[in-house]
Amino acid sequence: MQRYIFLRIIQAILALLVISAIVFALARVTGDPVAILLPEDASPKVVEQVRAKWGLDQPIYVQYARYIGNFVQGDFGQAWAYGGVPISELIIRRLPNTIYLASFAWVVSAAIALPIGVLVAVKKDSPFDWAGKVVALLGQSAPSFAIGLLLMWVFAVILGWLPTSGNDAGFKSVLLPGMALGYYNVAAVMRLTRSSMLEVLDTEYVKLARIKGMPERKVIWKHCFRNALIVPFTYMGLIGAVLLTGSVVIETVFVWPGLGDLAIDAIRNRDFPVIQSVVILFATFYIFINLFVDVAYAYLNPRIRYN
Amino acid sequence: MKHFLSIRNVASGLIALSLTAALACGAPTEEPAASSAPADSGSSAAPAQPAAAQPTAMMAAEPTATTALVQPSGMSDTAAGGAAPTVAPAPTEAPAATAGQPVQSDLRVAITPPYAENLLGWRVGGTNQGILQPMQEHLFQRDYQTWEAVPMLTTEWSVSPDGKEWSFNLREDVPFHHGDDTFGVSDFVFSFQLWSHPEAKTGFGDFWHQLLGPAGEQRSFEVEALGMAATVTEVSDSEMVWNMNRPELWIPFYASDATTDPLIYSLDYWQTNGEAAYAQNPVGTGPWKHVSYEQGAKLEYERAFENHWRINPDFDSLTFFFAEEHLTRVAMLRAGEADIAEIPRELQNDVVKAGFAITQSTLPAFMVWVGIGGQYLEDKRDPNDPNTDVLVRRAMNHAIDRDAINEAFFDNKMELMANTGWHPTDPSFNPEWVIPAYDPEESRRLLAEAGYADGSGPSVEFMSGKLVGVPELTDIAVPMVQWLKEVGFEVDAQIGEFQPIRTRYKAREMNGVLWTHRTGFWPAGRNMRVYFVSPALAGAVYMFEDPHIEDLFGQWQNSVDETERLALMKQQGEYMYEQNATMPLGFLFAEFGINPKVIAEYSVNNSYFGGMKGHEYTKVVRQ
Repeated sequence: MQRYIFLRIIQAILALLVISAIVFALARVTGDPVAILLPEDASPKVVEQVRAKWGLDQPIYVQYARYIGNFVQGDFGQAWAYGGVPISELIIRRLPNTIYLASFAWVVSAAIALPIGVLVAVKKDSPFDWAGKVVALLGQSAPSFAIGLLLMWVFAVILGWLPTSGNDAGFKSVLLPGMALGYYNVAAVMRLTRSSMLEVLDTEYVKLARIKGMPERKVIWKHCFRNALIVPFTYMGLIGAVLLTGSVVIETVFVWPGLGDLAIDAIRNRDFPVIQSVVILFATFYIFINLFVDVAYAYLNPRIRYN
Repeated sequence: MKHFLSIRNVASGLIALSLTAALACGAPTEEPAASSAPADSGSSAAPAQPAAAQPTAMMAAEPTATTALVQPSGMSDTAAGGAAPTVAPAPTEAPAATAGQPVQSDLRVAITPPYAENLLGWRVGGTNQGILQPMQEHLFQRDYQTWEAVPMLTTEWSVSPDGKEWSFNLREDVPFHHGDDTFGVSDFVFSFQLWSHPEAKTGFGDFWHQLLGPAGEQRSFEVEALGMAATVTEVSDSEMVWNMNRPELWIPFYASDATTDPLIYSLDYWQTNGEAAYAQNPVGTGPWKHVSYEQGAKLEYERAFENHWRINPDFDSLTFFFAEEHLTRVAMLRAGEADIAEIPRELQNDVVKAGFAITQSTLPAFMVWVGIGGQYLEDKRDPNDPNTDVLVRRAMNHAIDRDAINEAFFDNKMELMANTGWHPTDPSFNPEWVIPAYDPEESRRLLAEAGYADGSGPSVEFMSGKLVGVPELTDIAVPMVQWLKEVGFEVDAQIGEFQPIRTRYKAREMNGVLWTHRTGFWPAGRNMRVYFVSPALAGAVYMFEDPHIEDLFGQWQNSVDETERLALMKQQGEYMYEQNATMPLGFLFAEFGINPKVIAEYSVNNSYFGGMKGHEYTKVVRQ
C-alpha cells in the first residue's frame, strides 16, 4: 500500500508538471500580456521596458524554468494586474472562501441525494421513485448558474429572505451559491445510491435479516445503507474536487470572492502568473483528492487491494 | 485495478487540462476602456437629467495664450478669448435639517468589476480608476453638465505664448485623509511621477513624460527620483511653473478627471507608509475616504470631512459592489441591495416596469465604428490592398444599413455618426457632414468604378471581437458581413475575441482587414492621436495613416494659436470624411438603473468611468 501511495504521488507530481507546462504555453497562446498591462497607446519603448521588468523578453523555456523554480519554493510570483501583490497573498485570501463554499455545496449534495437515493430504492417504481428522479434530473439538466439565478430571484428578490450575492451576511450568504453548486451533483449521487441500494437490498444477507424479523428501518439503514455507501462515497470524493474547481461560474454569479472568481479576473486581465497558479492549484486539488479517494476506498472495502 | 487507476489519473489530468484550456482560451481581451453601461429604452421615469441630445461644448480646453500669469480662460470655445477667471466651485452647505431626513445613509452602487482591479490609481485603466475618484482629486475637473473644465485643486493658471510654460496657483489648505498633510507642489511632482510611470495604465503616461519628463530619457520605474520632474519649478508650496518640452494647450483637459490619469497622491503618505499602503489603504483629498476593500467583491468609502472644500456628500458612506453578471446586478437593484446599478440594454424595460428608473449620461459614453485596415504609410502599405482605394471604402460605407443596426441592436438609442471621431459637440465638427446612406446600388456602382465590375468583388477579412461596454459589437458584425457580401465583397468573417485584432493592429498588419472597434467619448484631437496617425506621431492603433494627416496633425500638435488649431482640426476632419477613412457607426450613451425611492438626483457625464464617479453629487431622497 505504501509503495502504491508513493508511486501515485510521483505520478501526481509528473501530472502536475505536464499540466503546468501546458498551462504555461496555453496562457501565452492567448496573446501578449503587455497589451493588457499597458494602455493602448503605450510606446514601443515602454513596452520593451515592461516586458523586461517581468521577464517576458526571455525565451519561453527560460520563463518556464524560472517559474517552476520559484513555484517549488512557494513563490508563485506577483500578480501583474493587481499592482504586483504576491499571488500567494491573493490565494490565501480567497482559498478559504472557495473551500467554505465547496464544503457547503458538498453537504447539500449529500443531504439531498443520499436520503432520496435510499427512498427511491426502497420505494422502487412507486410515485416516490418517479418524484425522486424528477428532482434529481432537474439538478442534472439545468446548469448550475441557471439554478443559481433562479434561487436568487425567488429567495432574494421575491421573498427577500437571503442576500443576492456577496459573502458578508454570514451563513445566509453561502446558502444560495452552495445550493446552486451542490444541487447539480444530486442526480448522479442519487442514482448511484439508488442502484447500489437496490443491489444490496437484493443480497442474501438482507433477505435473511428480514426473515429473522429485523425491523425494516434497521435493515435499510444499518445493513443496506452502510454497505451501499461505498460507491456513492467514492463518487462524492471526486465531487469534492469538482466542487472546489467547478465553482468558477457560481462564484462569478454570486460575487463570491473565491479562487474561481480570481481565475476569471486573471483571465480577463491576462495575468499569466495568477492563471498558472490557480489552474495548478485546481489540478493539485483534483489529483490529490483522487488519490485520497482511492486510498480511502481501499480502507472502506477490504476486498480491494492495490498491488 | 492498475489500469483503472491509470485511466482515472489520465481522466483527472484531462479534466484539469480541459479546465486549463477553457480558462486559457476563453480570455476576453480588453482595451483599457470603459465599463459597460448600456443604453435603455428611453421610456423610463428617470430623474431629471440633462438631455443627451443637447450638445454641450465638449473639448475646447485651450486657454488663451498670455505672456504672464493671468486669470485662466474658460474651457469652451466661446469663452476662449475671455479673460474672466473660472471660478472654483464653493463648498456646498451641509444638508439642512429642514430638508428632511435622508431615507438612508449608505449609497450602494453595483457595477461590473473593474479590469486589473486594485487601488493603485496609476496602475489601472480608465474605468478602473473611476472607483478611486470618490477619494482622489485632480488639478481640474469637468463639469458634469457642460463638460467644461473647472478648477479643482488648482485655482488659477496661465500659459506663455509659446505654449510651453504653464503657471499654476494651487488650492491651499486642502488636507489629505491621513492627518495633517495638506496638498502642495511636492504632491503634484510626486503624482506626476506616478502618471508617467512606465506601467501607468491609463493611457497618458507617454504623454506626460513627453511634456514634463527629462528629455531623451526613458520613463523611470523609480518613483521617488524627484529629478524626473526638473521641468517643474516650485515657486512656493502652492505655486508652480511647468517648463514643458513641447507646447501643449490642452492641459486643463489632460489634467482633469476627463482623462483619468492625473489623480493627486500624497508624497508624505508614500514616504511614510510606502506603496503597499496605497494598495491597501489609499488616501486622497476627496470628499470620501477609503474604509475597506475586498477584491472582487466590494469597496467601501465614508464621508471624509465635516466640511470638504468642494462638496459635502448627501450620503455618509458609499459602497461599490463588483458584480460581473448582469442579472446579479439587476437582482441587487430589485432586492434593494443596490441603489444604482449598471443594467444591460435588454433588461432595462423590465427594470422600469418594476418601478425603477433608468438614467442616461449627459454625453455619450462610447463611440462605435468599423476600422478599415491597411491604410498605412509607405513602409507598410500594400498597393494591392482594396482598402487603400477610396472608392472601395465609399462602397463599404454605402453597403451597410446603420438604421437597421440601430433599431435591431440598440433600440434606436445610438446617435449615428457621420465621421468617426467627431461628435456634434466638438468645435471642429462640420454640421454638413452626412451619415452615409444605405444604398447597395451605389455601393455596387462604386465597386464597378473601382474595377470590380464582374462580380468578383474585393476580398476582405472582417474581424470582430468582444469589448466591454458594447457587447453588441460581435452581433452587429454578422449583418454587416452579409451586407458587404450582397454588394459583391468576398468576406472572410472572424468573429470572437478582440485580442487577435489588437495583436495585428499593434503590429500594423491589418492590410485587407475591417474590424469593429469602440472607444470612450473623446475630443477629436485625442481620437486623431490614438487612432489616425502613425507611430511617429505617437499613434496607437494606426487605423488611417496618411501623409496629409500626418502633416496637419503635426502642425496642430505644435500650434499654440487657438484659431489655427481649430482650423487644422477641421481640415483633418474634412479630409477624413472625404477619404471615407472608416465606417462610422455611432455614439452610445451610458445608462444606469436607479432606485427612485432612494436616489433623488444622479448626474453622470459621459460614462467612460461607468457609474463610479461623481457620487458626491448624488442626492438622497429625504422624508
